[in-house]
Amino acid sequence: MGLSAEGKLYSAISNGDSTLLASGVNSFAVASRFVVFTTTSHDVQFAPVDSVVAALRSGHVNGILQSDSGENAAGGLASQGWEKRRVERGSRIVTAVPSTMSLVLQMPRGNLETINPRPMVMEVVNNDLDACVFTTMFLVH
Amino acid sequence: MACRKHRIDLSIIVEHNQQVFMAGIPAFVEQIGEVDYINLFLTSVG
Repeated sequence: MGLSAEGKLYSAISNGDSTLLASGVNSFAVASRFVVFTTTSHDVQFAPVDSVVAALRSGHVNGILQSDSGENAAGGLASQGWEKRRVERGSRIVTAVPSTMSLVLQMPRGNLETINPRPMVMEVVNNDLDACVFTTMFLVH
Repeated sequence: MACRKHRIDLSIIVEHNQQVFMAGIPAFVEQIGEVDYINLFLTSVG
């Protein structure tokens, strides 16, 4: 993963293929099988790592890059329906903590806010359901 | 983890994988053990 100075987020896999994931990106983090990034259009997007890798492997990377040349500010792979969450303007990701399902953001005033984004919670819930662990559904941690 | 805290609708328990859930209902009831939680779950399933 790489973020250029002008806010373009690129990803690459080990065989050397790379693509533009999104443009207008402020900050990013990789956690709990998501690439999480904040955009200048004030939202946090959650791109599943699996789908990013699958898109890179399937080799239609060139098509993705071409789609970015349009006027769409999001551009890149981001035109796919990744989950989004609106956040305050100028928020930046400090870190993402998979075990507590939380995402720490730094607000433009400097204060930190912790949120529990739905995609990260659902990831843990689905894993528990796959393992038939039901007790954790109800306990408040 | 903690569907209640994060306000995840409990019907996800059934809808995630209905066949596996149906087969595992006895295990589900045994693990929960708390009648309030089971009531809560049944309400969500509707």
